[in-house]
Amino acid sequence: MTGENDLPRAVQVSPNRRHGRQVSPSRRHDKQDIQSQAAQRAVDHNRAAQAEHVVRLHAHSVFSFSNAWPQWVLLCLLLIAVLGKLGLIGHDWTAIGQAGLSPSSQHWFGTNSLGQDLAAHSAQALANLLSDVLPGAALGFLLALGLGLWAGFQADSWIDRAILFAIDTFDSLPVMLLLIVLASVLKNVSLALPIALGLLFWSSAARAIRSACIDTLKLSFIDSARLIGMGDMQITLRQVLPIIRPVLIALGLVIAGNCLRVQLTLGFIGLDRSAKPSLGALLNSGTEEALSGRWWPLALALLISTLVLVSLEFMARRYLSRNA
Amino acid sequence: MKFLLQSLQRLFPALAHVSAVVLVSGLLVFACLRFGMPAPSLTLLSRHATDAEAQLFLRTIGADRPLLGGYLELMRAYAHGEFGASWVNQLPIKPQLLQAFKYSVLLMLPGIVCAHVLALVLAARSRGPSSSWLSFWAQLSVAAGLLLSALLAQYLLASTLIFSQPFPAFGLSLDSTAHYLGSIVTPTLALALGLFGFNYTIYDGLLRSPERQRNMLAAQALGFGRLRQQRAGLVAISYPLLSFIAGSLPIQIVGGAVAIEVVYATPGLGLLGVQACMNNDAPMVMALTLSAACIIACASALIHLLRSVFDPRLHAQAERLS
Repeated sequence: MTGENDLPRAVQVSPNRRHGRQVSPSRRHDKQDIQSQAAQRAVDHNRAAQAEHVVRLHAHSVFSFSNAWPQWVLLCLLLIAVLGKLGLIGHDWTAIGQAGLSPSSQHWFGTNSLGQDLAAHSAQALANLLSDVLPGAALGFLLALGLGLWAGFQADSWIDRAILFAIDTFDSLPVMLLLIVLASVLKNVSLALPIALGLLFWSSAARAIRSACIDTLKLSFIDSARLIGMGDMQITLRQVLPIIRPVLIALGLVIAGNCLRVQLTLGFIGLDRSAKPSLGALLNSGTEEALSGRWWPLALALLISTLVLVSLEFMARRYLSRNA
Repeated sequence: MKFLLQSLQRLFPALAHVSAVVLVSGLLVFACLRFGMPAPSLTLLSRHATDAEAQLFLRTIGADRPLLGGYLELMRAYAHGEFGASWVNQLPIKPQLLQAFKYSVLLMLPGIVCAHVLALVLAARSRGPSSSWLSFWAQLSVAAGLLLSALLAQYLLASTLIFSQPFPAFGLSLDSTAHYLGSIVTPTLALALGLFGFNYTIYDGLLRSPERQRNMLAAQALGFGRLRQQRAGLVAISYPLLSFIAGSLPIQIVGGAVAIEVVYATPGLGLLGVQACMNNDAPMVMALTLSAACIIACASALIHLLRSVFDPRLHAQAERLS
């Protein structure tokens, strides 16, 4: 490992001393000065090059309002979900009124065939979506991050080949069928579905993180970081992660989008824990109501689902294009 | 001869890959069915079965053995082509699976082909200012996914039928028109909408790749005609193009089957899988998952093999080594 060839040790054991030659104290002092100056130059180069790279990546603020609508849409939906989770919005979603009302000032999105307010229903569905998708996406992301970085640092070794084989294997699994089986069989285990989502959606992200890590390790300031004695862990935390941050954010958003799509499908089929309101169940009941002429439940469910998925996708693309 | 040896060398990793995919997905489902599903004797023999009857039944289906032993025995039976019978209708599983696969292919193929052709044509023509709109629609399609596209297609066609009713003018009653649209046209439209974005992104990337541009420029410099320039460009991207088409077709058929068949309630692999899960039909679930995994893994192995035939970099590397 080149990182073990660190400079402080080189300063302590000079080449002349290794060959057993006696060097005068003043000359040794000069040599130490030159080497410490070289070390300082390596540190400066490392900091300057990394700072330049980070500044180039973050040249445009992501949260500038112009052309940044996905972030704001996602923030609004997240706010509604959090307020719903805290019980500040839509806590009375079980209250039953007049059935089949069209959108009005009293019921913003109308009522469904049971007479439940669709606005309250969808706020609670968003809150449940957050708690169902977030653990699975977080698990998948952490798995991808750990294995991707490990494979990146051990490129071309047997560990790298083993991780790539696992990635290829998991990429070829029939994910949707497996998730339907897992969701129907393990419906009584509360965290089974998020864990299954995390275990099945890490592979593509791990491959991307591995490539990003290998590309970053080729940059010049990584060599200077090794020269000043940084180990693999320090290089990962202080040099690689800040550089590949846009890729990581994009991949996190892609994993969340995939988990969301699966959750919608399972909810639509009726295989999620259906005692709680969910967007998939709302889509399913909306389809049935649309056949009897009430279009607004399906339109609302389609609008919310599309908004969430499109915002995630567009935001991920933006981060990826910034990195490119 | 060397080329043949190289292809054989690539065959072993491909076979290892197929085996790993089938074994991992099989073991995952087998463990879940073994520990998660309600007891099979309860499902099939009802609650009134005696303990002796339940024990005899468990021994018959091999559920009394340890997990790994039972799994290996099941895999040995599958390797000999014995899929057993469904717990629900007591019919052999193999003909049911083949029938469902046939229906899925017939339902999915027109839509998937439409999505590929549409994406390829638009990617080939997308030059200039219109391409940004196309990429916007492609991103929208990728984001929405198959379920939302299917629902949107159904909603659009249903509203067209209900509000404008254009088809009775052509001598078709609304019922038969709706039935025809529901069974053939709407799934095709949904698949074309849902898969267009992903396919477009891949084709656009391939057609704009520097390798293709370089080959076309070289052909132009040599004074070749337009057709030969295109051919030279195509040679540069032949491996990724073929591997994408060969790899995506089975994945899109198996993956799309779930969303499309559930939304339109048409028979096929997806609906069979969902119904088997709902009815706790463990042998059917197991056989279906393994078949789907096998189809996708074989497609993936085919890509590995295609690489040895079509990837020019491998030929160059082999020549250098020789």
